[in-house]
Amino acid sequence: MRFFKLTQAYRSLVIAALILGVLTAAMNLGLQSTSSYLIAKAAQHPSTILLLWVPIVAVRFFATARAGLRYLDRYVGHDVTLRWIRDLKTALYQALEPLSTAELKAHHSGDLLTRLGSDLESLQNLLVGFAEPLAVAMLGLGLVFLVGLLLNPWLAGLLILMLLLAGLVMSGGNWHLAHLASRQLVTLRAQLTARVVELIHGRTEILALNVADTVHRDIDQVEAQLDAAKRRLSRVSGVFTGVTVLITWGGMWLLLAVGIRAVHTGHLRPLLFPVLAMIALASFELVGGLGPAFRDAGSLTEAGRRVSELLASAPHQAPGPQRTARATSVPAVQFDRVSLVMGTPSQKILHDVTWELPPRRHVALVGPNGAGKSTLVQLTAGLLLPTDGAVRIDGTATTQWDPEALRQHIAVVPQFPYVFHATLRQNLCLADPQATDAMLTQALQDAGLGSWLEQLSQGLDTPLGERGTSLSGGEMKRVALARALLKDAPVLVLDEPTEGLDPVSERAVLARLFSRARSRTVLWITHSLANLDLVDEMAVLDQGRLVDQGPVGRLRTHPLVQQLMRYQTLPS
Amino acid sequence: MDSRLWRKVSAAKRLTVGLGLASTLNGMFLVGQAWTLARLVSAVYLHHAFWAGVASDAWALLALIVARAAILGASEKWALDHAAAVESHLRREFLQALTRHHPGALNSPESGELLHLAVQGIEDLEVFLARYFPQVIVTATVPAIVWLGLMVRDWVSGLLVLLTLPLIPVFMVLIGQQADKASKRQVAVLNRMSGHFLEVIHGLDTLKLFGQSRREATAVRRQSEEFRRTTMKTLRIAFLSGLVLELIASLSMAFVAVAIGLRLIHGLISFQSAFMVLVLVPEFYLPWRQLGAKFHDGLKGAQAASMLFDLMEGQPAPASGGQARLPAPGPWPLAWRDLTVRYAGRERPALSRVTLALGAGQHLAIVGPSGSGKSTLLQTLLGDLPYDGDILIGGVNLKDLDLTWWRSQMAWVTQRPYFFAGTIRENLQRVAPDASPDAMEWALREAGAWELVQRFPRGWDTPIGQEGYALSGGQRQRLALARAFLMNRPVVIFDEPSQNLDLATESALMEAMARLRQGRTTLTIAHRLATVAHADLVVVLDHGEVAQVGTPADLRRQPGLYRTLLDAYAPRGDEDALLQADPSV
Ligand SMILES: Nc1ncnc2c1ncn2[C@@H]1O[C@H](COP(=O)(O)OP(=O)(O)OP(=O)(O)O)[C@@H](O)[C@H]1O
Ligand SMILES: Nc1ncnc2c1ncn2[C@@H]1O[C@H](COP(=O)(O)OP(=O)(O)OP(=O)(O)O)[C@@H](O)[C@H]1O
Ligand SMILES: [Mg+2]
Repeated sequence: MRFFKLTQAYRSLVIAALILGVLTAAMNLGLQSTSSYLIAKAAQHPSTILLLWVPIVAVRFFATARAGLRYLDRYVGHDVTLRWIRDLKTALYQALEPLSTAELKAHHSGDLLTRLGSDLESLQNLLVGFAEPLAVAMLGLGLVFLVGLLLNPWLAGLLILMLLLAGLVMSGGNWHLAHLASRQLVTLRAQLTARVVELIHGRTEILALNVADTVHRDIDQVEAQLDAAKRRLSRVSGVFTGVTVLITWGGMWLLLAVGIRAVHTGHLRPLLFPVLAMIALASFELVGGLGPAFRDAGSLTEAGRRVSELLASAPHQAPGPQRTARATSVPAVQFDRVSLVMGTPSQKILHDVTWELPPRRHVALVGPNGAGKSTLVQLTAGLLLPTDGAVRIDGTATTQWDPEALRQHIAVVPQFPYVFHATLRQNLCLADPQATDAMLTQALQDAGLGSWLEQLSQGLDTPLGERGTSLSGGEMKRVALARALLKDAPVLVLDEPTEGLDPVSERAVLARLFSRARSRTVLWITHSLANLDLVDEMAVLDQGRLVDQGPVGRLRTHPLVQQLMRYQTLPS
Repeated sequence: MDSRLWRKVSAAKRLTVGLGLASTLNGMFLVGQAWTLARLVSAVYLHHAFWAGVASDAWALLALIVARAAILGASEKWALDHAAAVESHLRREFLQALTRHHPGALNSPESGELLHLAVQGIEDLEVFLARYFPQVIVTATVPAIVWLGLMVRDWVSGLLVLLTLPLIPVFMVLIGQQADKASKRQVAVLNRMSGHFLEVIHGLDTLKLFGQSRREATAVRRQSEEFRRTTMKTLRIAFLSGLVLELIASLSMAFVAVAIGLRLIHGLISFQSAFMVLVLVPEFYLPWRQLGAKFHDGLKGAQAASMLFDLMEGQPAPASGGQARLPAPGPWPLAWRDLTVRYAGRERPALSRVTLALGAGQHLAIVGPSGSGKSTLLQTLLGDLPYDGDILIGGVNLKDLDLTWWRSQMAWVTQRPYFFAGTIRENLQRVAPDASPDAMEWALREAGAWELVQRFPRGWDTPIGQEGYALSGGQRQRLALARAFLMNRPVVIFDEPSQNLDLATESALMEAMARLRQGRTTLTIAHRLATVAHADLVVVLDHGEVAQVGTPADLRRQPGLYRTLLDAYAPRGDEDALLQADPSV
């Protein structure tokens, strides 16, 4: 999987963590066996304490080493993991970045957030929670066998056999019983997040439509499924906690039962009988970690799948060198037989649109709802790429442009602008981080927000609230307009910029806008035919096709436009 | 840890009692187990006993093992189940609180932060309850019991162990304080990151348009790196505490082992006692060691819990909680008396001393420049905004009204309609779960959405995605209108119903709205005056004050804001435009 590649930079640390884990387990084994050997030996009342010197030193050594190694093991393991998560997170963002808002929302932002959040959190367990217990169990087994050989080869063989069996039961049983529920946990968490996002973002609407009960019921439903999955897991977890104790101590018990015989038949020195007990206990601890590891393996694989799926989302730009050089003058915008297919099930949204926006012309784009006007805006800004044909800015297709270089030419007021949870200044400075207060104020005045700004007690430092909640509809549009004006781009694209404005302010804002933008190209999408006298040209889009274009005077008599206007004179 | 959790959540209490019981039993069996094991080993080793000689001990040992397995398994399940129950309970409470309280009142952490708290934070709390808290209980009970067992068999070792004991709590407290501070910072960083990320996802197009989206990648990396550093800092403290505890445990174990070894040589202690001590001493330290290891997991959950409780308790009680309902069916007369609404951080009130009355079944139009308080005036009816003055509905004060009932009497089209991920039909059914297909078709037709729904490949089973992204602006507005038509309520509230609509749809909508008005009270905000020509009463707002009130015909004749708005098109002598502005001219 691609995400493992990211660990290459610190592979040695990964290996170190695994080795440290195994060493720690080995030290534990050493400590348990030498300490029991020590007292067994002591019980023989040796003539001098010197005979005990070696086990005494060994006990101290193993004890100190176990503590130190465990510390190092934990430290290195977690550090590697966090580095890996950091790189994964960055890689995930880089994979997300080229996606359009529509593609992001097709995933649902709650789901994406889960991938970047709790899925990564699950993956954090890969090394410390999964790989290490596995390595400890496997390498530990060899170690136990070596130590066991010192006692009695038959008992060692038996111990290993039992350990293997225990390991298989712990891993197989947990995987078999838990992996489905543990997988579900990941998807359910994503669903829950998605619903909570909707609850938070849609709060006012939920109250207004009085659907709080059903929304909460939906969430409770996911919660109940989550709870059921957790209960399944807790059952497995409970059973295997018991089984672990049973295996560890029961295994020791069995070994002792066999050991008693071995002592009697003279195959095992009585001195080693206590040691056997302690070694058995310590070695079953080696496989104890397999239970939780395999219980959570389902989450791990599912989270891994979801993360790599996102990492693999198709690269958007055409391969090859991309243009970064800015156009030297106001660039022309050309649509060359542009078609666009989108959605599930896919639909053709634009059909063979061929159109040119000459430099410095002011053009109004009209057409019924769903004609494809906003889609055309996104194509112009390179937020979407055409399925067929090409959108050319200054003669270069948007697929050949470096996206950031391309967008330096274009300032957009989207139909539904996004205002960040930040101050007015921070929102405006997105367009120009160096802008002075005077420039910001000027831009706001041009957008018709001069008097609004004056009555804000914190002025430019007023926080605008989550998604601009503290702005009225018209204010939000105009903040977006001010932000676009502040960006010094030769092409200005306005998607219904005066929606939510009263006719007086609308006229004032538009008149100032067009007169100030004489040296820029302006594409203006509108449903109101009222201010068409302000522009040079007009284009009509219907059902994804460019129906006509030309001077405003002529197009006013276009049947489609006539139809729209005739409706206006219907008697009430 | 936050005591509020135990006061408020009964599952947390049951969790505590159950765990306390289990770990006491476990501790006792642990001592018994060590005792029988020591007897058995000593019999075989020193007295060369054969199976028959130790059978009773062996079976007793097995029984104890089985009993301990059962206790530990059951207490694990108990802890997990109750932690999950606490989780569900708290999440429900928190989400309910989020819906109830106006976001302004919630001191507004970003949505992403609230989201993180509601999902991951509560999940962390579950980890705290299921993993860390049981360990606390075990630590409180097992060592004491084990120590008593030690004292009975070999008081010298018992005292030796006791010598190391004071080191432990001192150390834990020291570390606890450090880690607490560090982890608070760390939880804050995590919250901020996640809050920021939700914004980035939703505002990605905007970031791209301003060439800031790639810079975010560096920001993501920087924040993750900062997170790694702060986490490693807390972990270092936690692991260091683990190291010290481990060293104390290991060294004390080595110390005890050597000491009993020496005493064995001199015959001061029996082998059986010595072996038992050897088995028990690690068990004495084990709970502390494990507590140290889980310390870090615990902290995050504890932080999340206190943040949750702070948020839930820091809120003033929601605006209204009356019981009154009005005699059905509506509509009822509405009145605003001396209504003033102030938003935090605004010098001017959004509405000041607005007084207005509307008869039952009358139609009100609200016009005025952008930002004059039109939407605010309507929002007050939702009972969600703090205000001064009175709002009377059918003569009853809004504050005395049963809000859920009152909200179920209104159909709204808000200025920023929100849609749920799902199909068109699901979105309609959400507001009217019992609506028949015919009714839904009718509503879609009235909203001018039927043809477009027909054009979609899967009709009204077409998914529209999060926030309805797969629809165009106008299509979304039509769906919002269809919802309102479908709701069939006595009070209908339209905030700019024709925004984003093309003109053909708008005029069809005017006719549909005329039909809808019959027998209902309607309140409509409009910029295109065409929408309001039929109103019984027009109120013109300006800077939050009532500038004019009257019938459209009266207002058209008076000089004033209404006339100015109407005339906005006239100077250019554009008949079409004027007609568009007000078809009744
Ligand atoms: N991401 C998407 N996935 C699928 N279909 C989409 C998507 N975005 C838009 N559409 C469809 O494409 C068509 C054109 O949408 P667009 O937003 O461009 O219309 P528009 O001309 O701007 O309309 P309006 O005047 O209502 O804003 C609509 O039928 C819409 O349903
Ligand atoms: N949550 C809020 N916090 C602070 N100020 C707010 C908040 N909501 C609205 N305002 C301010 O109150 C004033 C009135 O807002 P309102 O939304 O009522 O205007 P409106 O008349 O509906 O305008 P529009 O026609 O543009 O929608 C605006 O200046 C706005 O900035
Ligand atoms: Mg559009």
